[in-house]
Amino acid sequence: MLLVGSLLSGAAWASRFDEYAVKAAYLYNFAKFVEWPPEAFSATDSPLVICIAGDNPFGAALEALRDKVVESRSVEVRHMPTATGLDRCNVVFIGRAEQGRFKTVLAGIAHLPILTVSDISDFAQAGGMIGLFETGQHIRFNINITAARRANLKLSSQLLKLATIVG
Amino acid sequence: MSCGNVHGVAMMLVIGCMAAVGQGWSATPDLTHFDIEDLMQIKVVSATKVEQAVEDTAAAVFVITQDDIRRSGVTNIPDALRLAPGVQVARIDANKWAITIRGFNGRFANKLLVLVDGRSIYTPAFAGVYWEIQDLLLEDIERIEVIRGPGASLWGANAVNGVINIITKPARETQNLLSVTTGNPENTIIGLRHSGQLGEDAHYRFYGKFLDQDDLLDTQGQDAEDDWRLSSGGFRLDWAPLDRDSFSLQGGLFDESLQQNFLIPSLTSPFSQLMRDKAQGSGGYLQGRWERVLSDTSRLSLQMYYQNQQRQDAILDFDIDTFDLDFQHAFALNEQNKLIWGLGYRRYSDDYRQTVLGSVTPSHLDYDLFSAFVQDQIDLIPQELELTLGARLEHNDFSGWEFQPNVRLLWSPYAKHRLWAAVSRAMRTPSRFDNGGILSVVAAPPQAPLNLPGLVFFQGNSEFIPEKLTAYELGYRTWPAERLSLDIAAFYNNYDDLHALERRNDLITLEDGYLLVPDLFVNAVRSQTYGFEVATNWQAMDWWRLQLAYSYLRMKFQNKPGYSELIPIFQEDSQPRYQISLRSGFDIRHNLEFDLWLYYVDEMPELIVGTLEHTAAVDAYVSVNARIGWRPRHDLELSLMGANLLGPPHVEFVQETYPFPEQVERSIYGQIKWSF
Repeated sequence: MLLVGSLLSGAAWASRFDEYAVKAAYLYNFAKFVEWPPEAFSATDSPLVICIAGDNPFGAALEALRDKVVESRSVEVRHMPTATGLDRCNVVFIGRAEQGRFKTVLAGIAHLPILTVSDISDFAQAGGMIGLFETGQHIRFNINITAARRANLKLSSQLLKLATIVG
Repeated sequence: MSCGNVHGVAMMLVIGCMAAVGQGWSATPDLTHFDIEDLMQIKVVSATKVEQAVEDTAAAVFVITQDDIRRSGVTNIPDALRLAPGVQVARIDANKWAITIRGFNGRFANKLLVLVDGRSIYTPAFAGVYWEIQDLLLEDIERIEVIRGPGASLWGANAVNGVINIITKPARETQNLLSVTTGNPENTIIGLRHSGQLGEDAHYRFYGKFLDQDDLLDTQGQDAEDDWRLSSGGFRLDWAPLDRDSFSLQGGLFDESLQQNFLIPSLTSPFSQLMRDKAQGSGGYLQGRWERVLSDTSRLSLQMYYQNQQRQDAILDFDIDTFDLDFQHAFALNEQNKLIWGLGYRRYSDDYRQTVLGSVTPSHLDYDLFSAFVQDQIDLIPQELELTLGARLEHNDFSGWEFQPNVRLLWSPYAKHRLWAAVSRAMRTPSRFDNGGILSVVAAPPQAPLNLPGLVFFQGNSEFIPEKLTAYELGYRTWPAERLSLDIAAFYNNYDDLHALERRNDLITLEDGYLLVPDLFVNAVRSQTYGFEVATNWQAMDWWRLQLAYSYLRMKFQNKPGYSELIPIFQEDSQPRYQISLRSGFDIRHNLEFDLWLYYVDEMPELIVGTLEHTAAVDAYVSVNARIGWRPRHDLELSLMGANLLGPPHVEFVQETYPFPEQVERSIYGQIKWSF
């Protein structure tokens, strides 16, 4: 691992990180603050599946998620280039390159307990659950609670407190 | 995690990893230990699609990011271009720069194509750029792509030695901003930006900028009286009403007044005199762009702009309207072939008025430019060997049809190595001044047998044809360690029909008490230039980044036969051979930055100025620049910057006509940026 403890002390970690390394870490963190309904998993030890729908903007940054564990479930990362077959995913990330068809993708999984995250602008306003956006040089996020509730997902208040709520 | 141990991972990931490391700033460490609150404080660099593509481009490309601009402490675009290898930037006076890529520098340097969001800002009067009016809000710039070498097949005529592509941020990525920069010598820049959202799908911004630049020093150390005032304003509106369509509308206006010093000819001893000229400039543009995504692998764009440019000074007095229409379609023909093709039409309509020193004939002209291009990117071996074939066919009213082809090959033998080679042909089409300009340049003392002084003047030539270049390029990029990138590009440029002056003694006319001596514009010179550039980027620590750029350039010239007496415009030693730029960026704390930037420019022993075989020498110089930036709050940035901190005032360039050398001195200034 590249980062050492001193970085976390906050004193020196001021260098710029790759946008998608940060977004990958967000994905992992979001997963920790979401409660899925039991039917979202086939077994108690089924993995938590994070899917990248369509174009994959992360490059190697996703590697960081591979051996992670969330609530005793191991994290599995899948790239779904055609953005189909997403019903087996627990989290779906839709990249900016999918701007043209994200609404179709969202419509196809709206009724399923799947957390949708994207960095397409105004994603949460358009019916997605968590929209990542850049402000200054920081990445922040907004949340559409209605969309999450409709999908039977519970977002922790800790998460909501840090987000801008847009719906 | 590191890029070295992704053995089994799909090639796509490997490429993504390359891109991130190549970019230098952006290490891809494991950030999953961070909680959300930490992540919200982290600063990121956006690896946009284009920047990733840079690593896999078979051309010498260097990207200056917004962050590079901010941390270098520069206050204008010309100084920002000093960051790129292979670019020669020299300040002439308070309001002028000489800028070129790979040689042939001058105030009227004409082998560079400069675009702002796809709009050509070159002046057809002399096929060059008035850098002082390219006055965007620096904070609006997303990045500047500097492409060394011909880019004619994609970008069009005049992209001979290179292309500078200034790209501004989309409106949704800008906030309200107040930026004030001021210092000593007096130099004040105030920028104000308002950004907002209209309904669900549209974002906009407006900006205004005011600049007041104090004099440089003359060679005696006195104020050179060349101050400069500029006001500009503009807007951008981005609208994406449908998933597949996006529209963008931009516009701007500027108005400037400046003073400049010219050593002009005089018919009495000492045959030259200093002219303190007051110049006025103004202009504006309106640009619209529509993009449609047809499918995952196909998109098209249509762009239209109108631009007006006016200038009144002792050399030129013009009013030029430009109308430009550009269509492009990019699509994947099949698995192996990615095609881009496009059509372009441009109309110029201009008026020139007589000035103290010259004129352009005809004084009014409407003329057109048509072009068509196609480029095919072929995967010969997927992920390993890629061939690009491109060509542009262009018609202009001065020299007719021009064909500008290029061939490029990119080879990725191993994941961390890229080798590329290219052969291309480019033209510099005649400018209005080449074609019909007249300019009094220099006076000669009385000579036997008539014992009358002579007034030498430049005479445009309707027979002037395009200057031609065949360029051979080789490049290598590698990432020897995770946080280290190295980019090397070498070139051999072979020019023909280059501009020179023919002294036509047979056309000397006797005027009232003096002789008029014409120097006719002719395509009389061949040149070979060669050199290389190295750019490295080392993220030594998470908080320390080092960047080195080195450029080497040599030039050779030969006169073509058949001319009576040729006067060159460039010669071997009229360009610096070496340039070095070394930058260090420290992040002392998460909100405190310290930047150092040192650059060295080699001497120019024989810069040609005027036409009486006069040369000027410019000494080598080192410039040391520093910046401290502090962000006490997330919406406030305070910086203290210093330029040319060491060393006495120095001359960077002497203008090729009416030479009046001026010195750049130390400057210290402060900056406040408040986003709200």
